[in-house]
Amino acid sequence: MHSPAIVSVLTLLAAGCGSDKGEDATAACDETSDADADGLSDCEEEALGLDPANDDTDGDGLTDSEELDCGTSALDADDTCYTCGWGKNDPGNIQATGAEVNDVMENVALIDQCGDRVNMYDFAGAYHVMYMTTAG
Amino acid sequence: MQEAVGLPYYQEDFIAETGLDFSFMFVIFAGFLGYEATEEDCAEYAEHIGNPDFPVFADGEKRLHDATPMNGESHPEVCAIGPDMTILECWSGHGSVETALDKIRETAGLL
Repeated sequence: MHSPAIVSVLTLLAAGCGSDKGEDATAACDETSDADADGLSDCEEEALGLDPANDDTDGDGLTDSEELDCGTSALDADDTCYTCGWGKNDPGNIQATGAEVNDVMENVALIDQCGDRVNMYDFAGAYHVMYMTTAG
Repeated sequence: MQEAVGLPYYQEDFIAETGLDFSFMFVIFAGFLGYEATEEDCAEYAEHIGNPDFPVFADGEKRLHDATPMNGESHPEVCAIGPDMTILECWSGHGSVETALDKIRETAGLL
């Protein structure tokens, strides 16, 4: 199951497949076929620049579909999902402004319970209450 | 710790009530043995609060004290953060969670 945002992107891409405008570029894509059985149709994979015959185009151990779900690039083996499953939601245009109320906080990277160093900006897009304390 | 244990239930109720995209995130400065928190402390803390899927982060270097108005003088410290990572407001002490949730309701135009 893809996130709503991913489904929207895939829907738009699929809509372009086989249309008059994109006929030449996507003539070979097949919306009903999923040759590598990764959950993305051959048409979707071609539109995204992925290999329809390889369920892990960048060879990083995650399927193309898994990478789309967690917001990483299926074309970049160094861009992998967080082990704990947090999405990579940094929109890329957030600018820290300070450390006071009404400032945009710094993109602090902290270790999570799965051992990954996680950027706080990957939690953008939702409200959060940050509860800071000691374990003992 | 007791207050933190109840927060997963708060989250479910808050989302059901407001319809907002929301979650708690926990940051621990010191681990169970009093030293700088580690990945293992985070995993143990997540188990203690009753939901291993909750994000728990170790901040032994107290970097969030430089990135927020908090200073570590009392625990817990709570900050409400907006979708664009704006610091909406911060508080110290037990009972701050309800205040933080109200701040989010207000920011979202629900109060």
